[in-house]
Amino acid sequence: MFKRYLLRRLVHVIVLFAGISAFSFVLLELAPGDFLGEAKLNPQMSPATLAALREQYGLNKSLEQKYLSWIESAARGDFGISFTYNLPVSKLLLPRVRKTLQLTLSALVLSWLIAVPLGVWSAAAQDGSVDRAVGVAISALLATPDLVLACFALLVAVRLRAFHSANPVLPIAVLALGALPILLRHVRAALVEVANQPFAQAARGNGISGTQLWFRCLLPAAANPLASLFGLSVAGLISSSLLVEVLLGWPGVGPLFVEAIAARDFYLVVDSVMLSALFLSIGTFLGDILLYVLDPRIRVE
Amino acid sequence: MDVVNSAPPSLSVRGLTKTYHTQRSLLSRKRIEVHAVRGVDLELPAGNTLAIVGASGSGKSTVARCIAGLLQPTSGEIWLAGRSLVSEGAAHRHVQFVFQDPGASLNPRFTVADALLEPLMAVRSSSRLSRFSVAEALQQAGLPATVATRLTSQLSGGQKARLAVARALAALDASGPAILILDESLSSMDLSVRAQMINLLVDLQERRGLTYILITHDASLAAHMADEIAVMAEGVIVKRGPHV
Repeated sequence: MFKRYLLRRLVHVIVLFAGISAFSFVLLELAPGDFLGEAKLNPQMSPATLAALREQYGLNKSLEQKYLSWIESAARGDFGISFTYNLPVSKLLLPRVRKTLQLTLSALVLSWLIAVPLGVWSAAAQDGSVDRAVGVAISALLATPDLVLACFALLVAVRLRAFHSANPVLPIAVLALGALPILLRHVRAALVEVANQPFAQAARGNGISGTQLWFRCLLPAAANPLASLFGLSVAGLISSSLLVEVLLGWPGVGPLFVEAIAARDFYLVVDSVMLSALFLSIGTFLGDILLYVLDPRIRVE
Repeated sequence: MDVVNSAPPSLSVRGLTKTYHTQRSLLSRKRIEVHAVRGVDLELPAGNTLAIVGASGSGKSTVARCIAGLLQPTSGEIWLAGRSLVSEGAAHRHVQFVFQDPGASLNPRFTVADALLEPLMAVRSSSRLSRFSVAEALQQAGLPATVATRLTSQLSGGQKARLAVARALAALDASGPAILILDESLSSMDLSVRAQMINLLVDLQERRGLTYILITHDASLAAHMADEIAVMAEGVIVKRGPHV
């Protein structure tokens, strides 16, 4: 059964990659201008040089030709060249991915570590003062754009003079605070729903209470939507930090991606998008595996 | 208040009231009091069956939930064998509740064995855990030992009902009085399952000397099973007797 699932998942990934890559190529082709747009305005650049450069970068090829040759070379492990850096895209992206993951994985772990116990506490004290305080804090955080949080982090960094750009503490804090309200809401909502089920009342009737009730009986029963949400948080590991990295000067994928879009660095943009798609697939896969591990009913089926 | 206990021990409920507070609307801060139970007195000798009948909203389930410790009474006393269930908070060791939908009261992720062991999580007594036998508990409720490893969600409706009774029995302390409250638990069952459950309950009462409180709106079921019937309306007992 598990083999059949893996095979189905593999087919999904192939279809997803084909769809996203084709869509990226079409969008980039439709976008006005290309990498040599600036160069065209340079009076010192002759039309012959421009034509030679277009030939060299493959910009004179049709969309289908570009796409097919990219697929062909990607299958060999060559994901194209960055026009701006004149380097293979993989060499440019990999160290940046490591930096981005350093931020986003830490923020993911931190936000879940806060969201689960706080969500349980909030659900257990439903409509009490703790729950209300958490509710107000969640609403305030939800209403605050990541941009404002990042600017606030910059202000803190400047005032304290304690954080230089290589210090990951502030970007991690901003990312974790940005993700926290959604996670907290979902954990609380899932637990409140389960806590009102007859089997939860029966557990209370058996004298089970406190930590045992919430963590051993109710949290596992509320885990299904949370496992899917965890998969989605992994899926967003590459893309979620884009804005924060640019604003706080973190040398991750974010600034490189923005720079690549501005410069129409074709393959760098496409490969960054594909990287994000790869994480989406990994996230969905992890979410499914978690569901399989956590819910005995799925294993039985 | 001290209640003199006759032997065999009995359940004694004195002046039980339960008031709910509700808010009229989001904008209004005015709170409305709903008096679900208004001064209920009950006496129940051990080994007997009391049926509480009444229309929906008459307060019969609220009385039962207060006795089982699922709800905190607003005022009143509940005594069992000379011990106050309200102040000691140990109702679950002597009073167990079988819900209206026994299947829904079982955690669907648990195996049958886990469901039976669940009440013992709260006990934390290793000697009681070591004495407990899943196979024996299943056999007592008329379930084969082979279902122990199955998930509760895989059982049939009748098997779920039997398991809910078995779990309630597992939760009860072997020593001391034991009351089982059946809150409309038989009403949703089809006729054959219901007949089997009634036979099981009668058999268990004879073997273990259980005391039953039957919450129902089915007068014929009450007449068939109960030694005494109490009729509730608007939060009070309006009539009591062996037949009403």
